[in-house]
Amino acid sequence: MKKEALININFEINCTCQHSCLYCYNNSTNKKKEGNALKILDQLFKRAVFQQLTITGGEPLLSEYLLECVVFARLKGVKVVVITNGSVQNDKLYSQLIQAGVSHFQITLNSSNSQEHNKMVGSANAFENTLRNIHMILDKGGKVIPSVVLTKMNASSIQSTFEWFESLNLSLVILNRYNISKGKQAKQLCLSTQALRKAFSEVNSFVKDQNFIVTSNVCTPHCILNPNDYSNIHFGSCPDDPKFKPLTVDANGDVRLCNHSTTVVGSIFKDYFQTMLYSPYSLSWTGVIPEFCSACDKYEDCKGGCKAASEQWYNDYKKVDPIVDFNL
Amino acid sequence: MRSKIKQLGLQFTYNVLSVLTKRIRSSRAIQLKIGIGMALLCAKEAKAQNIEFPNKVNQLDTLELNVDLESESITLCYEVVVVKSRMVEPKVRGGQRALNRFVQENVIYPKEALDHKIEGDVAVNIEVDKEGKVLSAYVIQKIGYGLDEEAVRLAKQLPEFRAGKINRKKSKMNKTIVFHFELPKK
Repeated sequence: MKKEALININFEINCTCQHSCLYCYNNSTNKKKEGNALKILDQLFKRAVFQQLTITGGEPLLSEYLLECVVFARLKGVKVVVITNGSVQNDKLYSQLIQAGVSHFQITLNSSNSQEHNKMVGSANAFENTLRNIHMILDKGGKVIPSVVLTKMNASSIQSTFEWFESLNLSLVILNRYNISKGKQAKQLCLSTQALRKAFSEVNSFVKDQNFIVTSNVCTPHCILNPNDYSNIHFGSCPDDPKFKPLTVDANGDVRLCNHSTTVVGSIFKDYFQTMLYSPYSLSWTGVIPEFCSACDKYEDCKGGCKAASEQWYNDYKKVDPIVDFNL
Repeated sequence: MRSKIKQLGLQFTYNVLSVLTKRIRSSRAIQLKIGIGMALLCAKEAKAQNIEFPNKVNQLDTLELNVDLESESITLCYEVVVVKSRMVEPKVRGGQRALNRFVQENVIYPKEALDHKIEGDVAVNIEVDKEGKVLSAYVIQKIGYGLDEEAVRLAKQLPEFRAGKINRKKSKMNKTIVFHFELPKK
């Protein structure tokens, strides 16, 4: 069978993390063998051609295989991005990763207020460690994209957070709303529509005349957050074609349609991408319109928000994003 | 010539060490492998995999923070992927809803599928020209019972698409569309 041509693959290299983020959607109860990382990567290159490998976890910097995987992927000619909480203290590893050609580090930084950030990520010294590492990466010529998860806990300080990013010369920022996850503290974190819009409006106004790029990548129903109202922010959406979805391979080699989804569509060792991506389950992500959206003219653009969030919250990806229920 | 031989030697050693360190986690072997890998990376710019994409390959560039985001990147769910050329897929006018309506209005439900009460999704890869016309169609994911052939028939009858674009120029492109078949309601 032919290799599948993809854009990006997320690789969850491990499931170990030193933080316990309140908003984390990873199913850490699954036992995963980290020792398969190199075999999985090797297999990935046999099954697909892709342009970007995004290494995530767990916390990828805690994996003994990270540098090997980065060098291997770079030698294959793909761009490598590392998503990290940024608080692992290992200067040598950061230097080697930059030297090996990691394009950028996407680092979670929820607030300029250290207490807010630490509370959200469930770690007392996270803020100080992350900030130190960001400075160190920038000093060594690496690139950093901070990523903010917008919740009830940090929304009120969002403008000062962006002013702080500007002072740090971080001019490309990912601003994601909290995406609802099963079994987590959803009600404690999920903003009301009004508060969400207020926070996005503040960011939109702030970046208007600045040399800033802000992207909001978690797909959101447009009845909750309409991109047309925030012209200075770029919004991502869930692509129709399964091969453009943020396909995720975990440390067992199991493949999911995105990193938020819990449903395994196949194994990199047993199945071809074509079989996994165009299975009845995968296709029905596009084919079935949620009942709530059946009469809505915004559906074609927003697709009813995040289907993986519906899958986590309702055990039914055919329902509209649970953020709608939270705000009705 | 000598440097090429040296590079081939390094690549061979790297490959051998790669196989070895998958099985035996010797820290010396790992360090040596990483060192050789780094040397190879320094010696040559890593070339993109030389395999044909169905559409023009979007060569990746180093991330520049001041890029014009609209033209040089794709904002996917959870990711920002920065590319040299911007690709916009052909779009069904009216989107998935219009496609479902078109199927409902034009489908000739195969007798075999009716007899076995089969419904579901068929993925079809189509080639759309610069004018938005469907040139060809083939089934990627089959469900059988005559529905695959019906999906191809419907694909060839689809109304004109909004043509796909590469770097803002209309281009002939491939696209995968999903036909959702539901049994007719009595």
